[in-house]
Amino acid sequence: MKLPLVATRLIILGFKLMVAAIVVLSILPLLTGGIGLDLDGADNAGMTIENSTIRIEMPITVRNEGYFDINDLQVSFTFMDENGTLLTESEGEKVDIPVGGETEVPIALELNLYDLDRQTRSDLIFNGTDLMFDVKVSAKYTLDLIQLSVEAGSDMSWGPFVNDLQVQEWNAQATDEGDDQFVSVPFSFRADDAFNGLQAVAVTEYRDGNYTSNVTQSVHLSSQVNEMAKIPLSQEAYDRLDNNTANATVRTTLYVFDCSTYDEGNLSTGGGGGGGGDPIWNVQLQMGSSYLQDMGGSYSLFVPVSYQSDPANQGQYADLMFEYSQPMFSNSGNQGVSLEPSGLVWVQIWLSQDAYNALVSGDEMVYVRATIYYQSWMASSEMNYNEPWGVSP
Amino acid sequence: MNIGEFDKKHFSLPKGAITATVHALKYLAIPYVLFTVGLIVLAGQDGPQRVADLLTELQTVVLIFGIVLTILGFFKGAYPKGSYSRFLFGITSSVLVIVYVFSMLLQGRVQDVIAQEAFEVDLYLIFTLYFIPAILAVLMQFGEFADHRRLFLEKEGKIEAKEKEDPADHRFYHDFRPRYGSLYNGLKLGRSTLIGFVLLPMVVIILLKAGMSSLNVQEVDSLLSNLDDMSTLLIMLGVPMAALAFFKGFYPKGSFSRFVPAVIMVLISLYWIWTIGLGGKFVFDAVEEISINLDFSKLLLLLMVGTALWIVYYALELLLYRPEWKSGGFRKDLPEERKARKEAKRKAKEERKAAKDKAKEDKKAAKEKAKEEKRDAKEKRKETAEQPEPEVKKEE
Repeated sequence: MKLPLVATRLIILGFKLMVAAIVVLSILPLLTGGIGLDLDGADNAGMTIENSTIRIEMPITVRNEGYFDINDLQVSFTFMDENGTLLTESEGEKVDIPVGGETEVPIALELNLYDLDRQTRSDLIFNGTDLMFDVKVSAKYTLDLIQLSVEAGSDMSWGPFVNDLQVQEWNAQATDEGDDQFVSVPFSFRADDAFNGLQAVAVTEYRDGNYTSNVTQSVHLSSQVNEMAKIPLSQEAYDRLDNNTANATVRTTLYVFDCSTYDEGNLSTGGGGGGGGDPIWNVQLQMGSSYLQDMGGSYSLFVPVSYQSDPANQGQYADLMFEYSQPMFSNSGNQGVSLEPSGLVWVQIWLSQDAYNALVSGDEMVYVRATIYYQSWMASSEMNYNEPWGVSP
Repeated sequence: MNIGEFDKKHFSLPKGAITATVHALKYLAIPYVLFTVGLIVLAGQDGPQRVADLLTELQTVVLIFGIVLTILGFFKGAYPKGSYSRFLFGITSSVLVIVYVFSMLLQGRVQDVIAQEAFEVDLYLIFTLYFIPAILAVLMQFGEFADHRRLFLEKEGKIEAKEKEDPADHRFYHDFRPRYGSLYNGLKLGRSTLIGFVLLPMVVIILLKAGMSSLNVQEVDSLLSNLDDMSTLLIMLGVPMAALAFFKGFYPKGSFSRFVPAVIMVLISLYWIWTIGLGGKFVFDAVEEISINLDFSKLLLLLMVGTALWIVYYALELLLYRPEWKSGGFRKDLPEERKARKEAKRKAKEERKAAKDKAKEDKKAAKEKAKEEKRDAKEKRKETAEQPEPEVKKEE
């Protein structure tokens, strides 16, 4: 064969060998574990909020002991509502992973609350919501000849960041301070750690027929917020309240960003009866204060139930019946209650080990209903709840 | 049939021995060793007895057919190309190879055992695919006979040697004349292209499909459907390529009739690489909610650049071989012709060298002669000068 033809054949062979070598050297580290992920840093994931942007950071370590750099590694998130409509996108920084070591890649997920529509934002802050998202990991490899992207879709439970707003109207106190009369209504709520330090506005409104009065206060968010709304009252309104002739309601509206939630209750102070003649009223499940307990092999969920009753019945016994269910488990029972004007009773619900484990490890939705029976009257409260529980020692 | 072509005078023992050795290795030794190794491995790992029995039976088939094919190979190789004797042994052995391969299916028992031990695979379908190149191998014997018959008869002195074509009368489109082509070369290249671009990938696809179907996983359904599409594409691109390969192999190096199909083949093979390489984009989304996209188009383009260099190769081949083909009188590209051309070239070179040497010697001799003559003349002059001048009486 002639020399130029031999040379051309050798060049072609060289090209093919080069491509084959590139392919082999690219695949080999993947097969031998030369390229890998260390997800220990994922345990240190932290959520922060800056202005209106929620940021979740999760550092991971990428080990590259292959033959080629990994370039432009990027993790991006796309959030969608339940209809699949795009809500917002979050693009991570591009990171290069050079050969011969480990590189920490900060995976950051950013969600600007103002990118969401108001209803979604409100749900996310106060009720918690599931947002569908796509995560996309892309990178270039082998001298940028190969580009890999992996997309995975899932949904993520967010929030609630502010929850359990409760107006404790049964603890409201009317006070007469000479010329000024007030009613002080305690209210409480909880905020996620990520929202610690943020300011919210609470507006508490007193309404008695056509008479209204309100107070606005600024509240610093923390994991447990207990505040007192001191609402100025007119002399007439105060007198009606003091004489138990008022048909008053109190509503606390909490504003976080541009979203709000409220809680309200029928107001009675001192020994007044706010139940419209019923001996028991305003039964409320305080699920926010519930906790789980492992008592050496037997498992329980403790749920406080608050209620108000006519002082005339103080010391009388009523019957509290509860119904509890979660996926794959249900229980019901009853216990006696010694009535108090503003009473709180702890209901102990026995759980199976599986049910207990599911509550501890998961995000189970439970249904609880408490009904207090007294003579021919009854008052009840029910709730669906899915906050992960802490475990009491 | 000319019985005389079976005569001992045409018989070449060394050539027969070479072909017999090749046949023995191909049809006897290698398969036998492979099955023996299989048996040893099975025995070592306490493998299933039915597989061992099967391998033993296959060894017997290999022994029987291998020995017969080696003998046939000996006779085929011993007789010269273009002779009826070689043609007969050649065609018998290529038909027997088909029977040999079919016998290895052991009437479906191999397929049954594979199904029991691994997965269900249609070996008869694979045999059908094999049958196409096997038939081409049979036709190659006809091709070889047709290509070499004239040369054989010329050598035997039974016909006169064909006169060389005058290059002045040859136009480039004359390159497409069938008389310049070699059927054997064309069939050989067409067959190997068909195997490489269609049949082997098809066998891989059949095996992949059989393996994947045995998994009974719904996620691979789309992948199986992709494999079906790929099979269709392989046939659509591979068959025209095999046809072009026939013409590329058929016509001799240095002809446009070889260059044109060769370039078209390269272009189709570029498209083939791009298509089989899925356009450089692999998408795996069989698992719900997870999608993997692999973009290796740049790597594929690099491979295609390497393949496209074959166009440069064929252009160079045309330029470099054309003068040779032209000076050889536009002959077929047969080994004997090549050998004859090479021999003629060597002889011409020797003659040129001899003529050059002779001219050189003549020149040297002439030079010597001239030198001698010069020397003689010089000596003569010297002698004349040394002779005393006769006294002349002056008349005063």
